[in-house]
Amino acid sequence: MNQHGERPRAGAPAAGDNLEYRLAHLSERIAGGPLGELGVRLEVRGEAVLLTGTVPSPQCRDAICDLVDAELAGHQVHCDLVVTDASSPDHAEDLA
Amino acid sequence: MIRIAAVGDIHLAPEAQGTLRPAFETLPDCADVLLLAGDLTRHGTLEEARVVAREIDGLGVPVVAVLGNHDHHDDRPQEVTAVLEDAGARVLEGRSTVVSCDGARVGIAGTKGFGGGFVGRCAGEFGEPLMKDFVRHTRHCADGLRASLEELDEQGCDVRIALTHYSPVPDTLAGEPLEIYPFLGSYLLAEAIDTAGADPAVHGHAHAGTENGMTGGGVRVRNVAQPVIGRAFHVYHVHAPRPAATGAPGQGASAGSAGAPAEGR
Repeated sequence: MNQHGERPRAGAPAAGDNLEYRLAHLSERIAGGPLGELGVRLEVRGEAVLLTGTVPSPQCRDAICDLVDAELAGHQVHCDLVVTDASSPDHAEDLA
Repeated sequence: MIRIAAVGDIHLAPEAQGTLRPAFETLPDCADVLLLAGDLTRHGTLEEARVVAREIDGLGVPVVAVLGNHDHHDDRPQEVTAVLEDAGARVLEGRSTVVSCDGARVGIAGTKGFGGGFVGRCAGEFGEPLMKDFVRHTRHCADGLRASLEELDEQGCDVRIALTHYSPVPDTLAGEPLEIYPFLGSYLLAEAIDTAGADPAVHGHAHAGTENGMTGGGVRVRNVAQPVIGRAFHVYHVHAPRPAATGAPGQGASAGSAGAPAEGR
């Protein structure tokens, strides 16, 4: 049982270095900051981080990927964000 | 046949000005009305609202919208609503409007809605004030939706559509993490739709969800979040279940695509 003031056990990262917490806070920044993107998922894949989701513009995609790259320097980041398609539909659904 | 175009979650900001306009300009050829299912802006600022306004101004089909959570982020939903209405949109929150499509009267009842979750896995109006306020807000939205749909029925609408931002059913959330379902919708919205009657129900909000679902009462639900439909909008062909009303109760003052919104509440 961990006690207040006790050092993290050997081999365990300090809370500030914990990748899960860093990803959680990074998600909050992407959602709550100027980017305003709640639809981006950041997930750990082994030693790498995978970004998925759909964003409204290429500028938004690039800004998020740049931010994550900068914040997670040292980790491999796979940016699989896609930009929404703004073309007209080629068919309609009949709700008969 | 009534042709309903719909999209939500377009999240427009100045950098995206003009991206949807070319597709929207094709609307008169393929649709009778455009429904916007909320999250029209990124942060709910007036600058972003003006971007949306320019995308929808003078499209040649009526535009009916609800706001989403993003449109509330800057804490000025009334001003965002005013900007959109100046561009000709009818922005609904606990109220309804009627448009004429191919001789039929199409009633649209709208609310942003809110979260809370779905039957057996939902929040209750209990405990801390914040928790009670959360559920009460959803209930308030659902009550407004039900009352608006009932009023549209009294007005003799041929088709009634429920337009929300949050989802009324879990079906259309498939693909989203189960853990966040309570933040994506509420069964209270579906209960309101099933109690008052509507078909279809259209919503957004769940970017990673799926398009098709159905309420427990058999109402078809479509998630039209732009990332889900993968287009500028989708078109649904709806057939009036009864002959187009002529001289139906309520027709006149509020009917027609150029008329003012028929207040549901």
